[in-house]
Amino acid sequence: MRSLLAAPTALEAVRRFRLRAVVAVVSVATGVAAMVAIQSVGAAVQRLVMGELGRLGLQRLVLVHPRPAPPQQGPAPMLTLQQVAELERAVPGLDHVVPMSRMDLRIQSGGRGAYARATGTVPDYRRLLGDTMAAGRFLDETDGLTRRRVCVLGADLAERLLRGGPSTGRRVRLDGTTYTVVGVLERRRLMEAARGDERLILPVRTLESFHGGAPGVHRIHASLAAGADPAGAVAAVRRVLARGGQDLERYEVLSGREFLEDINQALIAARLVTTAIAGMALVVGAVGVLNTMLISVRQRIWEIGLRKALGARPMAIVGQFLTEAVVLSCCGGGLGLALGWGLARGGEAMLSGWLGTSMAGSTDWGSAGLALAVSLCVGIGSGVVPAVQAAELPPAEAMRHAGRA
Amino acid sequence: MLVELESACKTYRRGTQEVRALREVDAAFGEGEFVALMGPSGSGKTTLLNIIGCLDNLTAGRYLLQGEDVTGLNPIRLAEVRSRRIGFVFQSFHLLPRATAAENVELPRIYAGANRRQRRECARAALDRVGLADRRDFRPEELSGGQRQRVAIARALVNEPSLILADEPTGSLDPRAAGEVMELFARLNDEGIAIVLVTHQEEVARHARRKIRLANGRVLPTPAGPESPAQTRGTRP
Repeated sequence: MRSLLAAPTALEAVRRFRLRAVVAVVSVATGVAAMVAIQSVGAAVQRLVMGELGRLGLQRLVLVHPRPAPPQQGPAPMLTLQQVAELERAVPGLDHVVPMSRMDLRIQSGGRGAYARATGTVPDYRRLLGDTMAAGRFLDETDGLTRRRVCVLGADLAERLLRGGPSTGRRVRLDGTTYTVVGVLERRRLMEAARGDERLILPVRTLESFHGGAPGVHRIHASLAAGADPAGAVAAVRRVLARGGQDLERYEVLSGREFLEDINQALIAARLVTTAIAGMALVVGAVGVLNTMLISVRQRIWEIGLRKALGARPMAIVGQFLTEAVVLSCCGGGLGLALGWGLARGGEAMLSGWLGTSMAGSTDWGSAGLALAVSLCVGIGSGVVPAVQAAELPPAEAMRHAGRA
Repeated sequence: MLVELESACKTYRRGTQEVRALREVDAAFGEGEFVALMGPSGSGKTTLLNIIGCLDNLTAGRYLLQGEDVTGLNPIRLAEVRSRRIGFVFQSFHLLPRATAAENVELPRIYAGANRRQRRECARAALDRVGLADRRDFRPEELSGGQRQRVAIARALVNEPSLILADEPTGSLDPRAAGEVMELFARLNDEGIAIVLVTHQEEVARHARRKIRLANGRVLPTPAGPESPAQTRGTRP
C-alpha cells in the first residue's frame, strides 16, 4: 500500500514536533496509568479482604444480628442465653454457638485508664474466631458458670494498659469492679483497622451480673459442622428463634456465605466508583490527545496542501496522520501501562506495610487492555477525522492557510 | 499541445458573494514553451495557474493536459497527474521548515513511490542541477532567499516533470537572487521543460517567450506589435 510510505514522514513529524508529541504521550499515559493502577490495587484489596474474611472461617458461620432500625423504634429486644442454649440443642449441624454482648466500660490499671468496648461471650468465642493466646489462657466454662471476674485483653490494649512485667494475674478495674487478667490474645495485624487488638473480653454472665446491662446478648455467631447445609441451618435458626417469641423483623439471620457475598458486592460497588474516577482521568487524557491532534492538523493544513501539490494522494495524507496518532497513542499507552504497573506495585507495597500483611499483587490486564483500547481509539479518531477533512480540501485552498499558520 | 483550456470558468464563494475568478478563458500552449501569466492582482492569474497545475477544479469548461481531459478526474488521479507531470514553485518557497534541503527535495519522490536509496540519489542530482549540492544538509532557515527558492526548484524538478508552474517565484527575492532564479528557469526551459510563471513584473516576464495577459478573469487579446505596459494598466477593473 502506498500510504504506508507515509510512515517515515509521520515519524519525522513526531521527532520534529517533540513538545507536542510529549504532551500527547503524557495525556494518554496519565489516563492509562490511573486506570491500571486503580483497577489493580482495587482488585488486590478486594482479594485481600475476601481472603482474610475467608480465613476467619466466615463462610462456615451463621450470623444472627439486629437489623439496622430507625431510632424511634428503640433498641431491638435482646436475644437471651436460653435462646442460645435452645439453638445449641435444637439446630442440627451447629458446632459452636457463641453469644456476644457488647458494652463500653472504663478500664483502669495503675494510673492509666481507657474506655474499651467489652465483649461478653463464652469459651467457644476463641475457637470461632481462630484467636491464639500470646500469654495465659482464654475464658473457660467455670469462669462463666461462677461469674468469675476475669478478663482477656487484646494485644494493644494489654500493651497500653499493663506496660512492663507479666500481664497475666494483673488486676484491672472495670467501671470500678476489680478483675483479674487471665490472658492476652495474639496480635492480629489485619484486624487492626477494626480495632481487633483493642478487645476486652469477659464471661457473658459476669458482664450481665456486674454491669447492670439488660440481660441478654446482642448477637449470636454459630459455626457450621463439616458438611452441614448453610441454608438449612439458617432456616432452622429462624424457626427456633421464632418459636422462642423473637421478633424476626428486628433480627437478621444469614449465613456467612451470604454475608461475604454482601461484602463482596459492596467492594465491587466501591471498585466501580473508583473505576469511574479513573475513567474520568482516561477521558481527560483522551481529550489531551484530541486537542493535540486537532491543533497538529490545523497548524499543518498548508503542509497538507503542499504535500498534495507535490503529488500526495488523499490516503497518503490520512496515512501520515494515522501513523502519527498511532505512534503517539501507542507510546502513551505503553508508558501508561508501565507507569500504572509501577503505581499498582507501589500502592500494594504501601498497603501491605500498613496492614502488616503481604498482598497478592497482580495487574488487572482486562481493564489495562480496555484503557489502552479507549486511548488508541480516541487518539486515532482525533488524528484521522481532521486529517480526512484536510485531505479532502483542494490543495490550492489548503495552501492558502499558509499565511494564517 | 501541452495545455489546452476551453471556456474555463472558476467561481469562488466568499461568504454570500460569488467571485468569478476566471470567465470563459481559452488558452493553449505547447511542450517546451516559456509562458508568463501577467496581470494586476485579482485578475485571475494565480487561479489560472492553480487550474493548470490541477490544484483546483474548474467550475465550467474543459482542461486537456497533454491531450488528456483532466477536468473531471478524481482526487487520486489528480494527485498522480501532479506527481508525474507537474512541478511547483511558490512565492514563499513552501519548504518544510524543520526538514533539510535534501529532505524537502525528496518529498515528491516519496509520493511517487520511490524507495529511500532512489530518493536520496534523485534529491542529490536535483540539488546538483540547481547548484546546491553542498547545501543538502542545511535547513531552510540556514539558507538565503535565493538558495531557498533554488531548493524549491530542485524539489519541482525531482520527478522529472514536463511542466513547471511558478507563482511569483521572484516576489520574495532581492534583484540579484531574482536574476539568478530567472536564469535557472531559462536554462531549464532550454533543456525542454515547459515553464509557466505568474508575475506582475515586466523585468521577470522578459525571460518568457510568450506573455498571456489577464484582467478581470479574462485573457486579453495579444496585440500584434510590442506590448506597452500602459495597455495592461488601462484595463484594471
